[in-house]
Amino acid sequence: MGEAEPVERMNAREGIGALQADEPRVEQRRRLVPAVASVLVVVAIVIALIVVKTLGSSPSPSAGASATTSQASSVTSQLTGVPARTLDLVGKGQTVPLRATSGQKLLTFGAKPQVLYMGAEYCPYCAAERWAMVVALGRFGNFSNLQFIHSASTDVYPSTPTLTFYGSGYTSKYVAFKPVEMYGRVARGTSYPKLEIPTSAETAIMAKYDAPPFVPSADRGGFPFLDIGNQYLTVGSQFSPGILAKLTWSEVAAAIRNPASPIAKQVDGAANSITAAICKITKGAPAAVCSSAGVKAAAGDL
Amino acid sequence: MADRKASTSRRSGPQSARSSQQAAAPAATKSGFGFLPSVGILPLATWLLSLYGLGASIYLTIAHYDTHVLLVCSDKGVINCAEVTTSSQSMVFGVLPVAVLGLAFYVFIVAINSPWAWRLQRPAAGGQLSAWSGNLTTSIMWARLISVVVGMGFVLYLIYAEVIQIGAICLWCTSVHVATFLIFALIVFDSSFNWGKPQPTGRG
Repeated sequence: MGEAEPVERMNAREGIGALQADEPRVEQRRRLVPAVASVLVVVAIVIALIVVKTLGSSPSPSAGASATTSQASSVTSQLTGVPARTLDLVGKGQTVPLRATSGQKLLTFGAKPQVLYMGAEYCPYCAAERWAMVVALGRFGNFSNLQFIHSASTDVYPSTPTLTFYGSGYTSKYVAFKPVEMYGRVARGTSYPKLEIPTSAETAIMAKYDAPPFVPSADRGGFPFLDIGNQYLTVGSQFSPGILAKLTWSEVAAAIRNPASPIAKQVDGAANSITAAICKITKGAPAAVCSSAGVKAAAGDL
Repeated sequence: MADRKASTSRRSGPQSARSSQQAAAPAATKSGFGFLPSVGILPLATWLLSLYGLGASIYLTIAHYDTHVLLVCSDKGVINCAEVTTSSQSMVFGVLPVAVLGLAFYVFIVAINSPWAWRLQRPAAGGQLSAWSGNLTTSIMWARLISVVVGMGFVLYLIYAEVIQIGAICLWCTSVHVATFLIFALIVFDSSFNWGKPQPTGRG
């Protein structure tokens, strides 16, 4: 017992020494925890966002038939690549001209003039106007992820073939395009589901320009509302949706490329009109588009 | 127990001040550039990443305002810089371009992560901090930590906007996000390891 005591004391001292030696390591581990946790939280949030996007439904038109991806890609190519000769031959066509505002400040987004569209997937007039818009805007930039749909089956001009800007993208070095598809196309009860909510600035623009004196009082608040830089407007379609009835998307696209077809005279005429208005706000850029015969012809009506 | 208290008090004493100085300033490494104070690998890495972030932010800001400058980037499919930089999410409250916000952030980050700012916080071995510079040290640490946490939070929002709302990725923006994340990780690790450790204190 007498000898055991010093050994125990020695062991105790060794233990304390070991504890002291270990302490910096324990301290380091303790300090490591919040740092590692912070980094892991950030990584986890990013992974969660990607997983949500991958598993969740990508923006696509709600219920009902829509074109397959390959169909959509093919029709989009046809629309954005309408031959310049076709558009020149059609000229101003047979359409309702855009309305010019006067003395209004140019609507811009960043450094570019902006084209604002506000409409709804159910709306047959929007369905008609979108064809012309894609042909026109396709001359200034590139669309991506356009989906092809029909307007509401329960409205006038039921199931007009069209496309939707919901979930689509557009890039251009000349102009910014901001589409807002406010409602879906399949009614729930007595109303259509909301798709996109306009910003307060967009709501203010619509409240101002989609009303007298810029449009007739009968058209106040109507769809589609197309605002080209606050300089040119249209409310409603520039031609009747009836000409597109019972056609497939591919048939409409093919007709748009044929200058002799009645559809081309209306859709391409409207496209030239929109193109001419956009050329005004881009100050004639790009020259190849803005100086074309079809655009010049349509510009006469602005 | 008494021994453990004793050891704790020893850690706070002059002996530990020396060791913490060594830990806080692996500073003794040379920067390799005569005009730069030598501050260690981690501070230098945060500064280089900050300089990259600043360069990319300048490029994105120029591309935002000058329509003749196009980002060197795909404009089709998921990788689509223009779709992101021209989206409504590219403006904060519809008036302030995100690119400008990023530029302002990185101007600050470059300054606070510069070797000179780190040197204020970590004097070279043997150097001493006066009382007022001790306060400055704490202020710099806090400012650096808060700014990278806020920056990382904003980056997470921008990733949400790209992935969920826009459905497209801007490579240049993502490279800035990665730089911000790396700076965040380095600063958080540095702060965790050095927070509360006694700095060398001056007596005069």
